Amino acid sequence: MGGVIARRLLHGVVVLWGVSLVVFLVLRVVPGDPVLIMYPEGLSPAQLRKAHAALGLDRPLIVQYGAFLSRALHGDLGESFRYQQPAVSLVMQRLPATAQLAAVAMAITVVAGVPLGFIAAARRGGWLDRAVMLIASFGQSLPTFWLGIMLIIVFAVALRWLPTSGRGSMAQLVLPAVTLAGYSTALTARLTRAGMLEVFAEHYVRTARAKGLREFTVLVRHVLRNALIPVVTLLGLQVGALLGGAVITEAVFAWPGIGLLAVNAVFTRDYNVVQAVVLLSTFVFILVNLCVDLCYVALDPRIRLG
Amino acid sequence: MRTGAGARAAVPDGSYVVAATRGRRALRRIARQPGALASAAFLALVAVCAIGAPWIAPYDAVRSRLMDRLQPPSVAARHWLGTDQLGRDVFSRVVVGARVSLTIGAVAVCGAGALGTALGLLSGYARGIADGVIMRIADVQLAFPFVLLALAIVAALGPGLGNLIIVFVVTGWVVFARVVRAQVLQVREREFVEASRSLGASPRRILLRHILPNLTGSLIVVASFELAKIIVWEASLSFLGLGVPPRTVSWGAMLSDGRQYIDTAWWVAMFPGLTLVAVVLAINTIGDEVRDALDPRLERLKLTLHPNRTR
Repeated sequence: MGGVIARRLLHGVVVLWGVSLVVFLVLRVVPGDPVLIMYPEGLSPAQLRKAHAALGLDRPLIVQYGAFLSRALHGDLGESFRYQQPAVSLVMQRLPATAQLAAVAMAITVVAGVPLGFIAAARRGGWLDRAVMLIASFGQSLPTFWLGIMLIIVFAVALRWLPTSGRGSMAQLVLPAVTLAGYSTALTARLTRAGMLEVFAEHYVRTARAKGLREFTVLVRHVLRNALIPVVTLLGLQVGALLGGAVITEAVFAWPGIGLLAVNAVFTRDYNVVQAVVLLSTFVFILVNLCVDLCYVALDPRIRLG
Repeated sequence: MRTGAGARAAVPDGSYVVAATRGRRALRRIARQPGALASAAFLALVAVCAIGAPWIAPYDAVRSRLMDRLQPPSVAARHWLGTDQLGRDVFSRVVVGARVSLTIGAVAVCGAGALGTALGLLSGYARGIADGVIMRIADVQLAFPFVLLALAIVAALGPGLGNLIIVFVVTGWVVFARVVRAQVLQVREREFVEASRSLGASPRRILLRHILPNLTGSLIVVASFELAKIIVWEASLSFLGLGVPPRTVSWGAMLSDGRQYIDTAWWVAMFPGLTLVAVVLAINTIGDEVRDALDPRLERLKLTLHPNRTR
């Protein structure tokens, strides 16, 4: 068991290192001089050299990467060119807003997605199944930003039940969270149904029925429980999709999280902030999936032994 | 290729013949699905619009006519879907916008598919170091929320059609590579590959003539889902202002413009969005049907769908 954990940890570290290399190269090698963006009115060549030296942009790339890596390990991802503030603390200030949004979206995904898939599988082949699956495939095809705009039109503009944007009250959380949860809810419903349909073919389900258990008990205790294993993996991976979807959702609803921060940083070429958002999100993502893996190791003896 | 007597002779277990009939049977099954047929017809219509846009669009999609701004949809005024904030005809812009979406989608899927297939073939057939390196890169990329990679690349390269395609190729090859590799690992152990190898066929010949044709079905399925994903992401990035350059007619950019007018002129954002959703839904429907038709595992599921017992 210790071996499995060590291997997963090592894998996570390698991935994080790879991501840091990619982000560093993408943001350094390609054109676009951050100094010129800080001083759009232009600088004399001497001033430009001095500004580059101050930011370390005049040194060889490999030296820059080495310096970057050692600072990153100390939790320093550079300063925001725009806010004159450490990029990490900038991201940390915005992280709670994104975490709140993602957590509520994840809760909606579980509370809505699993029961929908369960109902569809329980009534497989029937009209309820077909209706749920139609909604699910529609939900999977809806672009996040389009769903957000539609919800705003219906619930904020036409019905005036909920506010269109911002963060503060609970009412402002509803529309962005539902928007963000849309895709993963549809996916979870489909996967729960598919997983349950596969389990139906297992002998232990027949045995459970032969014992004379009530159909509902069979469905919940024998079918659903075994069908949920792939769903849990999916939910772990969905954290990545939620972080990505948060970028779009936050832009639609002016939700002050790291997604909106990243988009604005791209516009102003605030490299260090883009880099900090990407690295910290990847870190969170890897950490969550590590936890999911560990839950498995604890839950499923086949993985522990294998 | 599959009909020549020579090709058939090289197939001791008859798998070519089986593959060919399976493909044809799958096609016939798909043709019986009304959803798939309607989706294919709709996509054909959109493709015709994209190609014939200059002749089909009744108005200039770019020039503004401020006198006609924000007109509601009306058949009498010949603005079937209304006009936007600069007086441009929404219908014309939706038709012209199909060009950007479909072009970027098609080019990017082909690029990602070619790159991913090549790397997947290499990875699955050569194994060893190449496999290890390629699959570790794939792991790193999958551990990385796509939008953030796209944001980093756009931050570096700036918005633009070519840069968008680069983003989608760089992010899209992974799925192709993984699916192709998994299939190659299975197919390479089959008897007809072994027979061909013992007859002295080069690895290149085995890969291109024996293994690749067996991957067609999975590639079509992956490509259709990737196409839908790319079209959505192109629109999403354009919506954020990080996609196509300003003034380019695209559905995502139209939605971004229309968002400011949703309380007074809903049609500006509604119609490009509906078209986008319909296109994506159609592509996904076809992908689903092809997958169901090709995946024999689903036959088992179909059986459990109709168990001969009462609930």
